[in-house]
Amino acid sequence: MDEDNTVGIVKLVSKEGDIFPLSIEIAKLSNLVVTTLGEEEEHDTDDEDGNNVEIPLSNVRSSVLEKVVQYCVHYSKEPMTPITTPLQTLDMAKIVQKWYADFVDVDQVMMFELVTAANFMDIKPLLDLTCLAVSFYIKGKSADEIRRIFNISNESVSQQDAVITEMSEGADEEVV
Amino acid sequence: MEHLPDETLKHIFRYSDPRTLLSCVRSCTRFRTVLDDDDGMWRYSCGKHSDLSVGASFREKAFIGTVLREIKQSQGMGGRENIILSCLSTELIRRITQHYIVPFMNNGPDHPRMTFDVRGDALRYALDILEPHMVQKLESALLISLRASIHGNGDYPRVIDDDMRLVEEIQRNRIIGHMLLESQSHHSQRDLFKAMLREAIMRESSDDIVFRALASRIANRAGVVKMTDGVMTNIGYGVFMILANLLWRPMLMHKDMLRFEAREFEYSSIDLWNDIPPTIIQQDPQCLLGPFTVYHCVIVPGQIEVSAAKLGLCNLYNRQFSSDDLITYG
Repeated sequence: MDEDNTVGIVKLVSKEGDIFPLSIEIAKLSNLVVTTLGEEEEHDTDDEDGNNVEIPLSNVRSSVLEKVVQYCVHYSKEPMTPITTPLQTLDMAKIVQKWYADFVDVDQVMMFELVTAANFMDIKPLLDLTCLAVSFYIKGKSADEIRRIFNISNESVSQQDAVITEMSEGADEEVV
Repeated sequence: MEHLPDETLKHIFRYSDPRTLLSCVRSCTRFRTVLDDDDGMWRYSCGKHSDLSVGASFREKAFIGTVLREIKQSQGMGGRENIILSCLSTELIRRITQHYIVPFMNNGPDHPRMTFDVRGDALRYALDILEPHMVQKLESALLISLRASIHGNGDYPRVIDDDMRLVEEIQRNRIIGHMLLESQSHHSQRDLFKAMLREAIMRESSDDIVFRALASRIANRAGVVKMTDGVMTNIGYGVFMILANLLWRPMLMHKDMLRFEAREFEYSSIDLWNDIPPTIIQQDPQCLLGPFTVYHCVIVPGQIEVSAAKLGLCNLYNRQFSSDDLITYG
């Protein structure tokens, strides 16, 4: 927030109302920022540098937005290695640089909020990274755990189970 | 937590291995046990024979194809599960497409000697699940791969040593394809088929005759269906070209190589074959030559369905055929 008076700054406003100033050049990693700034220009704002542009991110908490800003700033210095599929390794630090691997070494709540924020702010490399982290997180988990993680309803499970059991009986004979 | 958007779920699944993907869907968790057993996976996905030289990676993808078909049957359970199924299907299809097409394009290091069988399986699985607009992409990749093979860069460098013969064969295919396009009636298709057989009988050994007949039959049927529709669609033509290339190209191969490609057949009454004299379609488990894969193709407007037609052609292959036998096909 000490960059408040710097030329070429955009102010990202969190759900709690906290302001995170960020240079426009760096903030343009977010397509949401790009789009918003474009709209501001169309409306012929007084400040061509965008100093007064505030972008409300009403569904991004301050702690998450702080991480997003960290990501963007670091990305401007050391762009993340693009994640390509199929993955050649399950070691995150071998897929992307260590800083990025450490960046997503967070708890589940933060991880999913980062996914949501990356998606909302349309920051593709961050979305790639966080989705990769989630895919690693769910690896090896049971169906029930995964359903819980993704908040998949268990409604009608008994009905489903009946259908599945019926399907399984036929298919299992083929497997063996 | 809030529901992740579908697109984000798909994004996550892009990085997930097949085991995890299967775990996401209750109805598919049982498939995980198959993944644990390579032999089991092979049996499940590719039939009874386990002696074909295909890699574990292909087996996995073939297995995924099998799972996909079951997923389709599983849909309709409602709610979020359907979204997951949809994401899972999309992701598996993407993987299969990528897996199938890339090696075809490259004949690459991972599949330096991708066999004709593998390509056939790829076709079978892919066409069964791919969206029609993706078929042409697969077809192009297949053709590139086949041409590479024919030119000695791929599977069969030893047996393709006569460029003139290759040119002749390609020219023949082109002419036949043109004739199919130009044909206006079922009758002319049948005449064409007979003519092709006669030509084959004159030119080739009895072994080749059999396969030419089969290829012709398939091509003929595909053509007939398209003509019935009155429109030669790109998809229809693509399927024809795939079939033609799949089934004509092996005829250039040495008999031993054909044997290498052998796969199981069993008689099916699928309409494509139901007018082949039953007397020559008998299963023989002792058959030394082993089985062969031929593909059954049904084209209806807006939909393609290709599935393996299993026939007792191993017996057919062993028999001493006369030209009269074959002519009765048409």
